[in-house]
Order: sequence, then structure tokens, then C-alpha cells
Amino acid sequence: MNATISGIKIRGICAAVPSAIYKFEDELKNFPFSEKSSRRLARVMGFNEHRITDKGTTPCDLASYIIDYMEYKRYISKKCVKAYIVVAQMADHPVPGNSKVIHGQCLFQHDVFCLDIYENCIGFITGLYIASGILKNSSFDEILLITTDAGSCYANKSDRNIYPLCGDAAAVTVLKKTDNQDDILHFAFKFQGENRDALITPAGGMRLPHSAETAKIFKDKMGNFRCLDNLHMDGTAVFQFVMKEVPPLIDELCNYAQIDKKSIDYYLSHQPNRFMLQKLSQLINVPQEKFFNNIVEHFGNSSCVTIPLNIVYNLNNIIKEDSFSVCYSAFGAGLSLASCLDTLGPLDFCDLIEHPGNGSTIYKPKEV
Amino acid sequence: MNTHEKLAALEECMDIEPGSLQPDMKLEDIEEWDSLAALSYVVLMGDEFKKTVRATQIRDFKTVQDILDTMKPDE
Repeated sequence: MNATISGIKIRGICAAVPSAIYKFEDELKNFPFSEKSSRRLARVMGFNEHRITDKGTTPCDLASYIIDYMEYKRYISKKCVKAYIVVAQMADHPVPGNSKVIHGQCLFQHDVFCLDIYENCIGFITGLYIASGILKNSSFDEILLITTDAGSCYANKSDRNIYPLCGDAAAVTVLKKTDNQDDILHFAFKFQGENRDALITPAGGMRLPHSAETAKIFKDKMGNFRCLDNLHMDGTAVFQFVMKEVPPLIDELCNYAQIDKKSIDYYLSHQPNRFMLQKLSQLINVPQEKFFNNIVEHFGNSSCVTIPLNIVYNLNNIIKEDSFSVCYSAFGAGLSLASCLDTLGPLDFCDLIEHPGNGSTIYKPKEV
Repeated sequence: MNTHEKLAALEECMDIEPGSLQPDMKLEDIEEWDSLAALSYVVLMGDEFKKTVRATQIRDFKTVQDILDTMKPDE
């Protein structure tokens, strides 16, 4: 499915990661494999360190903390926020949704529109599409796209297949209306629901509710210890899906948008692991300096937050002064694929901050 | 690729000393035959033989010979 929305532009992005750093080297002993084998995996996949929230910090806390920081920096004013959407795969509560928790935490006006979207790795692009569509058809001038995740909550610390690559993070992206019809977002989405078992948390929903049985740890065919409540990935199947489907999706989107692939300055991809991204950049035939693959080694894979984190980490030095032709791409559970062509920048702000933990939702500037 | 070259390519996938693999070796006895070695094998099959390997095929491999048998272009 393709779509085009014009007259919408990203005004700025702020992202936050938990301040607590966990090192792969310290986690080696938890995995039921030899250290040699785990180190080799880390070298190839780019596992080095990742950021995980403490138990007292939720996806909503991360998001509300960023919003408070943005108010402190005068990037936004909470009382002027008219609409926001929250994309996440983890919820603070089964009822109500994250957007209502954030509404209460940020003390937003009653007169706003807010919406929750459950989405996985493609969530940033899905959120961009929906937020742009809402903004385009509304009387207000800005909307916040909040992407937040504490995906590692799903993972079992002795599951080497999932745990080392997990990371928690949140980002708030501000979209604005413009009069310039050249501010165009082109989107492409594809889904393969028949292959959903390749990346799935089997239990905990209506099909197989959580129970003592689903919490029982067993050793799987690849030698990992996990239970049905844990996220499970068939790494080989997901790898092949990405290699086969992502390059043609980007080609088709460029054809649809009539944009020359060579004119794209940066490919800002979802960040699952370095190995997959290296292979993908080779297949798309772009040099690695245009296709960053360094988010997992510093922060871990934070699902719908990896693309904004990629922007604030890798482009913050240049994106406030200049604009670039960019291609966002994401893939993951579903199985799902998404891509978007954008002209990104100059941004008013592009910040990466650390969340101090303990469920903080109030930004406290460090004393100088 | 002849058998010697195929074994060398598999040794590279498993990151083990050249010459350490024999066709009759059982995979369950080879510690280096892990998920990463399997992924490296998948990439090798795509690059060298233009073949897509399914995860279920990999799980059915018992010996090194079972892998060697797949290392050829589609008929």
C-alpha cells in the first residue's frame, strides 16, 4: 500500500534512554552457551551495551519525562498541545491506554485529541503516517508523535536469542503543518500475517492467557531457555524475510514517488542488529556511511523508537542547519514492512537525554 | 565448489580451525554449530548458490554431510 501526504514536516525530535547501562560482557554468564560462542555472536551482531529501565519506570514515564524536558527547553508548551498519538507495544495498564496515562502525567489540557496505537518495530513509520493524516485534516498546526518502548520487559535474561539485543527508549517527534507543498511524505507498507509465528510472544493474550503453565521455562531447539510468555524470534526466518522484502519495497517506493534512489542522502533504518543492517545496506547497494548500523551496540533495539534514536544519535550535528533526503525503513513482528521518503531538516531541536530512573516524569536540569 | 571447498566454507561459518570438519561428524557434537553459524550458512547459501534455506531444514540436519548435500545450485 502506498500513500502520499504533503504540507507536513518534522519540526524536531527528542529522545530519551534510561541512564542505566548494561554490558554484554557482564551478561555472558547468564546464557546457556560457551563464552567463546557468545563473544563471537556479540562481535558479529554488534552487542556491546544496552539501556534498560529500572522496574519503577514505564513506557509512559519515559515519554512524560521527555515532554517535561521539551517544555523546560521551550521546544513545546504543554498547555498548547492539541493532539498527540502514542505508539508502543507495552502498556502501563491493560486499561486505560498509555495516551491517557501520559495525559494525566503531563497535565495536558482537557481539550486535546489523543490516541493509542499498538505497533511493533514499524511503529515510527505507522505513527508518522497516522499523525500526518490527522494533522492534515485538522484545524490545529502541530501534533506530537510519541513512540515509546520497554521491549526488554518481554525478554528472559537467559535467552541469548532476544535479551542481548533489547533496549528501552522513548522519543517525541513534533510534526507541523507547512504551506510548502514540497514538504511531502511518501509511504509504503506491506504485511505477511501468515508468517506471524516467526516473531511472536505466544502467551499473555486472549489466545493463550498467561498462566503458571505458560511461565514454565523450557529449553528450545536452539538451546535457549525461555517460556511461552517470552518474545520468541525465528532469527533465520526474520533475516530472510528482511533480505528478500526490504530492498524491493524501497525500490517500489522510489518508483512510486518518482525519486531517484541515488539522490537519497541517508537511509534511516530500524535497528535490529549490526549484522542484518550490514547485509541489508549491501543489498540496497549503499555505503555504510549513508546507512547507520550503530544503535544496537550503544542502546539496544527499542522497537518503534530506533528510527528517531538513529536520527538524534547520528544526525544531531548536522540536521539543525541542513536538510537531507532520507528514507526511513522498518520491519519486524507481523511480519511487517514499512518505508517512508522524507526531506528531513533543518530541525528546531534534535536532542538525546538520559532518564534518571525511579519513574521520574519531571525533568530536573543538572546543577552546574 | 568441491567437497574440500565446501568444508572450508562451513568451517568459516562456524569460525573454527581449517581442516577440523569431517563429513561424518554429528552436528550435536560440534559446539560451534550454533544459531550464528546457521545464519552464516543461510547467507552463504544465498550468496553462493542463490538458494533460500528454511529454518525447519536447518533443524533437520544431523551430520555435516547433511549440510554438504544442500550446498549445490537448484537442479
